[in-house]
Amino acid sequence: MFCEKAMELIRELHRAPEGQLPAFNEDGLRQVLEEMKALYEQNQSDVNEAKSGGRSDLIPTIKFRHCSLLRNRRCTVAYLYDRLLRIRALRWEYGSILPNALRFHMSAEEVRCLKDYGEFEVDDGTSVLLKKNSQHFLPRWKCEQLIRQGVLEHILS
Amino acid sequence: MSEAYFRVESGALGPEENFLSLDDILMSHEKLPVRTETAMPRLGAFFLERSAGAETDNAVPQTFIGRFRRIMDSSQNAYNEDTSALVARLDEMERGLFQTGQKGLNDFQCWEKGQASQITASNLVQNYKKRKFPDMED
Repeated sequence: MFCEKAMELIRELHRAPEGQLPAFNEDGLRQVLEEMKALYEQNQSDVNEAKSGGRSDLIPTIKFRHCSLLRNRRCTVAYLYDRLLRIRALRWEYGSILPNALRFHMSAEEVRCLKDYGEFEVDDGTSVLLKKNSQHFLPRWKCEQLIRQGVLEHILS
Repeated sequence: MSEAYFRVESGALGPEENFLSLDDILMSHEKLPVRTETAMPRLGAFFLERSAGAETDNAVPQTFIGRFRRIMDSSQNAYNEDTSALVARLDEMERGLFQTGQKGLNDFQCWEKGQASQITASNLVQNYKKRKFPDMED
C-alpha cells in the first residue's frame, strides 16, 4: 500500500524516547522519494490521457495517487522537522562538542577535495587534512561553505 | 532525556490537526476495509496483496453482487416491520432498490389476500385529504 515506508519513518521517530536522536534513515527516505517520483510520473501520464483521450474513468485513480503524494510529503517534512527539533535540543544541552555516537546518527555528505586546503577543524576538536583529491565524510553544515567556495566537491551517491 | 526538546503538539484538542505533528499523522493513519464505489484502474501494480490482475478486477463486482443479494433478500422478507436498521448503512441507490423490493413484497401480499383487483383511491388523493381536514378546521 502507498505511504507504508513513510509511516515507518514516523513510527521510528515516535518510538524513540523523548529527545533521543535515532540514526538518520537515509535508505527509508530514499524509498519514499522514489515512490513519490513513481506516483507523480504515473499521474502525469494518466492526466494527459484523461484530458486528450477522454479517459475520465482514470480520475479516481489520479486523485488517489495525489492524496498519497500529499501524505508522503507530509510524513517526510514531519520526519525532518522533528529531527531538526531533536538536534537543536541536543545542541543546547551538549554545546558545540557532540558525542561521536550522536554525530554518526546524523546524515553526512561525502565530499572530495578539489585543491590543497590544509587543516580543517571538525567539531570534536579533531582536524581533517584537506589535500587535493582526498575524500571525506563531513557533516553537511560544516562543509557547505567550502563547497560553495569551490574547495570541496559534493559527491552524490 | 532531553529537556530542550519540544515536539510539535497534536492539534487534537483544537479545530484541526497539526501538519507536522507525529501524533496527528499516526492518529489519522487508520486502516479501514475499503469499499470502492467505482473502479480505480491502473493501481494494481502498487497493491502488493492483490498481485493477480483478475483478482483485482473481480473484487468490486463481487462486493456489489454480495450486497445486492443481501438487500433483495432482506427487502423481500421484512413485511410490515420497522426497516430503519436494515437501511441505515445503505447508500441512496441501495435504498431505492430496497424500496422496490418492499413494494414487490407488499403487492404480492395484496394479491394473496385477493385485494389485487380492488380499485382504491390514489395515494395522492388520500394524502391530500389527510391534509385538508386540519386546514378546514383552522
